[in-house]
Amino acid sequence: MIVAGPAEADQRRALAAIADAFAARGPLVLAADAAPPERVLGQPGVTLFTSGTTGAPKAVHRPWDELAAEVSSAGGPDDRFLLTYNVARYAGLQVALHCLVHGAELLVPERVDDVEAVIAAGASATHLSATPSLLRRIAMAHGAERLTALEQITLGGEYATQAVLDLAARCWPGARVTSIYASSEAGACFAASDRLEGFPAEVLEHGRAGRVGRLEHDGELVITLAGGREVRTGDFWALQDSRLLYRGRDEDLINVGGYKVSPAKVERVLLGIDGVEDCRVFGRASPVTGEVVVAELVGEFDVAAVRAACRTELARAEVPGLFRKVEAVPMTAAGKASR
Amino acid sequence: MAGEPLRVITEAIAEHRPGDHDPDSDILKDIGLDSLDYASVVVSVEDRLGVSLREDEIDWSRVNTIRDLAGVFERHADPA
Repeated sequence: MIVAGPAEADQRRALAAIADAFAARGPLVLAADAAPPERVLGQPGVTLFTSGTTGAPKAVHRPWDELAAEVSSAGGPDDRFLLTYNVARYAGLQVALHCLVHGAELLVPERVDDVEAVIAAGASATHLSATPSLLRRIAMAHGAERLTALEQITLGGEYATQAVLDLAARCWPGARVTSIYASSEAGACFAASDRLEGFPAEVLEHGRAGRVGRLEHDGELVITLAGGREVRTGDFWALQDSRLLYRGRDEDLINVGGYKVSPAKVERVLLGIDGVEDCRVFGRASPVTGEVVVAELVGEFDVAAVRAACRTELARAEVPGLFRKVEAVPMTAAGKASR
Repeated sequence: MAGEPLRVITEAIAEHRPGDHDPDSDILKDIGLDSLDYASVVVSVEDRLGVSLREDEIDWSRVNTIRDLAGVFERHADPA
């Protein structure tokens, strides 16, 4: 088992192990930060652990042929990828495999979880794969002036709202911006490069690498892999005007007096308000309504104006009960906004 | 912290219903907050005072006015 922390030396050690195991199509167990207690079998392929945004990490085994099939056919040896994910997680492993398959260069920062280190390593990067949360932070750290060679920005790991897609387009007007929906278990399922939030509805029938998706009656996305295996994603979506829009994960929903609030929806509205640069929305126990919606916001704004805008665009129960101004939004080890 | 909860609650209520509110006015009936506004006021006051009220610390049947609610926060800070 390789345990890969966020430091460059750990990442390089894991990258070497990935290259060897991939060449031999042998077994590899990857863990980020700490060795999970779960006992894993050394089958050919990669065993990794889901990021555990909620709940405990879970072991997921992926055969090499399945992983190789998820590598995009577009690419070449002149591409330079900036690593922003831990390679011991699915998103980072995908970037590493892409570079191995296409002979592209991988730029490894001193720490993958430090925005300044990431920017410093990426001056010559042509390709950036990042979470929307990290992209916002890169933009706030004047990354547009420092990552000037970017041709392709791929946003994944979290839902890319219209506000973050617009931000990417403003900062890097010459780059293609792609949103991707992927999970450790179902792999890379959908991608869209039209700079619009969500995905066109047809991705359900024509997903990547033969994947087919369907929405259950409650909106949960179920993916059928090319081999016929079904994966319940735990992610909830809605179809609106032939567009697939994200509602959130079941366990993320905040119960305000019996009304289920999607934090993703509230974040989307907040990020569209002038002056709000970043935010996270979560529930907190309330002696009045069971739970109350709390919003932590980064930027320069007037709280009364933000509240007024929320009241116009959201249902009453969705309007945050508390707006807290913060310097930065905490992130999980996987680079996602922590709720 | 005596007096502090009263001031903080009055300020938080004014964010929803602007004006000077009498400490003895009924939060729901006189001032007209609904439960969502009320929840917002409570979480704002918790945040500003750095405390978390448990539901079992409050007897809602006895908490009607701003002064009553201030009493809940004062008792929370000083249970003795």
